[in-house]
Amino acid sequence: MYKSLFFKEFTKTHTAIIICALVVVVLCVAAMSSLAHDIRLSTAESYMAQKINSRMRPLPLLSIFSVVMSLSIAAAQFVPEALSGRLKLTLHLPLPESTIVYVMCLYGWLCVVVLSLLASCLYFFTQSLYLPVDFILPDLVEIFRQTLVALVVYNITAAVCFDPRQRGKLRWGACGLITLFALWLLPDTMRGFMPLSVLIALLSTAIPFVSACRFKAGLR
Amino acid sequence: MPANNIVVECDKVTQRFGSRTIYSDLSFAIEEGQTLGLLGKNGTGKTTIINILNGYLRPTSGTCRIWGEDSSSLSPQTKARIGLQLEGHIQHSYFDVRQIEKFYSRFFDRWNSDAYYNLISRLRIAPKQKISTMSCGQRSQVALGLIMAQDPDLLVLDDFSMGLDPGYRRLFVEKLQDFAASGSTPKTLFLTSHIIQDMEKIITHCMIFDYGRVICHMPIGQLLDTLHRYTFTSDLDRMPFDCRLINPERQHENLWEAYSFEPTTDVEYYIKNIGANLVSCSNVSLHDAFIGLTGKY
Repeated sequence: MYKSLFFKEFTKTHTAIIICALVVVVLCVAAMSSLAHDIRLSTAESYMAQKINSRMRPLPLLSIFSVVMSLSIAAAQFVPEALSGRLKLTLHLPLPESTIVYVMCLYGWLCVVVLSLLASCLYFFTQSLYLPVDFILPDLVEIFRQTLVALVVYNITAAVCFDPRQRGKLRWGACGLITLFALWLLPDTMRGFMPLSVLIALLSTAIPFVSACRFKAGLR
Repeated sequence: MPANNIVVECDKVTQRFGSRTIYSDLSFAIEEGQTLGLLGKNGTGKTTIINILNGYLRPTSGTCRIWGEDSSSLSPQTKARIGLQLEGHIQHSYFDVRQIEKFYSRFFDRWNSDAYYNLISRLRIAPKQKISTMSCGQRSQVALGLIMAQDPDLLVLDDFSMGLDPGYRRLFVEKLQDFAASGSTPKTLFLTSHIIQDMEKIITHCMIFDYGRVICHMPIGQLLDTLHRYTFTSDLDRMPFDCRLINPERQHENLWEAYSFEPTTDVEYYIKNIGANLVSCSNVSLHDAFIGLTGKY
């Protein structure tokens, strides 16, 4: 039964996943060629000193991509469920409703994590061709933090789709924007607060369930 | 009535949306083996009661039970015994014909793939055709095939004839008739539809909703045997209120039409007493009964 639920989610999202994977590859290759170009213009030592002094963010496009990736996967999964009340058909399956919602969300979480892992591995591989490992490791920590942001965005998008009321959707959307502002747009604010980011990501996993309960109650 | 014969039981269900009351203290039961048709005008709460029965809407007060379980928290075993078709034949349209059968077959022990593919083969649809590219009629047959394959003990259909041409409607009705008569265990059906002629072919019991109330709930045979239409002439501008005459309405000039469950002799006596002249007394079809009991707009 769980394999069937995963298959259902995969049927909805396989196009979005393929596109996201391709974008990851393109972004990492672009980062590598950009790095090679910068090092050709000024030496590697000069490049590293400039990066440390200016506190440049690693690969800004990758941070935008993580949010867009989780939004697109969540939308591909849950917008079809929200339309025309299809979620009623899904929740009518002979399984506990909490299990159904959990399996659907688990699929999405795994997709976000696997794609982020792919991005991390590719980024590490391409950057390590030119830079020392010690220099790249903080970037990987930043990618991990962006993965946490992506998980929060995924959970909030799921909650927006599940909620039966327009007002509820707007409320969840507002929460999402505030979270994005705190965790993503001002990353330096949260850079030293990794445990808090992990805690926020863990707490956000409950949000789709809250929204699904509201759907079950048929709140209007 | 023995409790183990009752499949669906609604007890004093009240549903309000804001200040609007859909129904108040609604109580009814569906016994095993019955096919109950729910008729009502738009907005009288037909889909609302289906949402309550399937646990997608918590009533303002009262309880609904299916096989003794609260409908808002049905166990997986009970859900496996219920076949559900939503208004508009909504399906997981991102699947194709083969994928959707494979998906559902994992969830039901009694799944019969042959029943599904026998029906699908009649539609001349390719197995890889996506459900999103199908017409409403084709989607309805896919939904029907899935129901036949699941072989549920309780079937809930919300406006099953919506968007179907006469050919698909007839096929759907015939399949439902076969389904109701099939199997070693009695099948219980709960249907809504606006095509009353189709309902008349399938249902054994009828429940007619009006705004905020149930007008009648009885076997279809009893309804059609006891309800008669009376046409009479009268010079009165307004009929005096009397519960023996339902929805008296002037047709034209001094010709009136009304309906009644009372014995024919009592009604004829009453019509004579108010100074009217009886023109005719006739039996009604279910369609006429619905219009007569709920009134025209």
